[in-house]
Amino acid sequence: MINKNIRKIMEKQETVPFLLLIVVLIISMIMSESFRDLGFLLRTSTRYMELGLTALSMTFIVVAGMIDLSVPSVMCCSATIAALSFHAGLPMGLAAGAGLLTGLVCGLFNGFLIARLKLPAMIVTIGTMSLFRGISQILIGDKGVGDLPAWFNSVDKRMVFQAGNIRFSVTILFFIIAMLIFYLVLHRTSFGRMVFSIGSNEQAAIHSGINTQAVKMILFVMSGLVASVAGMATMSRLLLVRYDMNLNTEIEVVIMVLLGGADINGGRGSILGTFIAVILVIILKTGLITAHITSDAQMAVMGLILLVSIIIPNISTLLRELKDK
Amino acid sequence: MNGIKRFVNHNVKELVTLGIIVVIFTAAGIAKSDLFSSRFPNIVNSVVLWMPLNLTMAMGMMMVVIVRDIDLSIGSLVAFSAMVVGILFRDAGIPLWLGVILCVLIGTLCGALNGFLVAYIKIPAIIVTLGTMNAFRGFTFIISHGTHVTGDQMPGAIKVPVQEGLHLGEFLFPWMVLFSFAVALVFYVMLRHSHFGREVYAVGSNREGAHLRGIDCRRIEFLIFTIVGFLAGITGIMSASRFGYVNPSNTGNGLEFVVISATIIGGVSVSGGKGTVPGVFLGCLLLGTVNTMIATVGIPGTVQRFCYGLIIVIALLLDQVITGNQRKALVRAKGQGA
Repeated sequence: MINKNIRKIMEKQETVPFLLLIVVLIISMIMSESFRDLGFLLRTSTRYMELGLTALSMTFIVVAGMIDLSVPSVMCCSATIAALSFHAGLPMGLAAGAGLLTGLVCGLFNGFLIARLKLPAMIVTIGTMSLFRGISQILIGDKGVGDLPAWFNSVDKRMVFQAGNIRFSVTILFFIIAMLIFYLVLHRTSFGRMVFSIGSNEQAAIHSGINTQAVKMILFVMSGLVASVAGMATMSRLLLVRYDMNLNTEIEVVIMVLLGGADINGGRGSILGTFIAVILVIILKTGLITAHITSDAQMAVMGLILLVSIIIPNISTLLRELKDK
Repeated sequence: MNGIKRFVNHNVKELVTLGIIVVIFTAAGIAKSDLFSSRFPNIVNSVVLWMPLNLTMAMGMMMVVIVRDIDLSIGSLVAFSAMVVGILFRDAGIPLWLGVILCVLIGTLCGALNGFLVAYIKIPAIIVTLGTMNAFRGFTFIISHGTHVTGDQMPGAIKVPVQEGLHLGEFLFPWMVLFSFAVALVFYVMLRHSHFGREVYAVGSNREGAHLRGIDCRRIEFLIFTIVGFLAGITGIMSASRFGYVNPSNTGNGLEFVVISATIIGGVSVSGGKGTVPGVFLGCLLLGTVNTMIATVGIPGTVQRFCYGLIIVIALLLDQVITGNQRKALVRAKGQGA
């Protein structure tokens, strides 16, 4: 009976990332004083929140059995358009709107190729990954475009409220609100159920009357929009945009989603899991930095953690299979 | 007449790729009038020099895509194997032949690790290779302490395969390029005429069916990833030779995306079971041509990334149109038969 309950808990997708989180947290707390301070964690985590935000919308896409590798390129492209339209004379509010519109168009383009023409998402987004970043590179070359108005800059340092050492910045609050909304949409609405049903069996979903094309289209447009919002936040934090903004981070977003227990083949995944995984990645990265491990060597740890987190839940099925033989 | 028609029908994708290459050459020739006269040998030389690393890797990637998997770790495998050997060259002064053997051996072992996790532990290939991509890139940094190995620290003979080769008039085909062509030829024969090759296609087009026919699908998958690792080892030593240095962040960086692009452009279907060596060869040739022509015609280098993306999207659309037409033709033929 107890055994059964344990197995049930182990099979929940949030369990493994949660256990990993606790282990990593304890190790970091032992290794460094500063990890016993919540304020420090909140301060350092802001810069991963932008990627965390896109990981939330990526969870939807992975649950539907697809992948979107173009997210960081959309971030970069929309930030570029926003910065350039500001310098072309638009007020910053409208320029940011133009940036969001760019994200929308990028999402529509992905969605058209994947949902309407039924091309494989992975390959399409490998293509559009170069395409969107290429647009930004053509427009601004190797320069950085900055000189944005003061009210737009440093959104990550603007505090919403403060209690002693613990300060919540706009980015963190935004991330938490977005997490709640995404949670409700994926786990509490019929749209969310449709996403799950497409991911577990697309043919069955079509036969049960779900307009899979429309759902996929919505998912990619959403991904584009969220990416452009994250792009705005990144530009505001960095004070400028360059063509290599968030270069090669698509892998990190995917790792966050997969660490959260989502199945790359679709039909399984949760916003809560992704949320835990984002925190795990943040603590891991800050922990490794305070332990004087360079950001390049951190990649090895990230890769190993990903493999371990996938192998652990698989071991039980593997053992059962061996037993049956 | 019928023979020509059948040939065209069977090789539509390859012919389209070839057509695009010809169009690019012609367009560049119109833009720069001396392209087909005095500069032509130079252009051809730089196109073929772009190919060896990508072509060698694309042979492995093609098999992976045929069985409906993907391998994102190749760039990191190339960097890791090259770096281990580079460090041994620098610090232990091992001879070149030993370096080559070690490099290939390390690549093969890493590939076997990928294969074991994918085939026997049954973790999806994209996750495994995403993990090993990060892991091996990280190991490369750790073992090298972030420093790079320069050309002077490696045996002098390592540069020979790039600098010397077959001279045909003003055209120079370096040994490395000829070697990669030979690799492609071996894979052509293997995939078309060996048991293993036919089994790869069988697993790719219908895994259940292949299993029922008595093919050990796990073994095939394991072997494919091991072969990719083997090729990554070869590419590692080739990259050290081609660029004259091994760098933990530059070596093999982004290689996976270029190679996947070449494979897709070459007409390997991501839905599995389809893909030919000549097609992939032409895919590599096309990317090499674009790469060279952008520089030759004087388009700023910043446009290159955009062009790559555009070509992939166009190739996917073309693939969709062609397979759609073939399906229609098949339906029509069946209708006539009945």
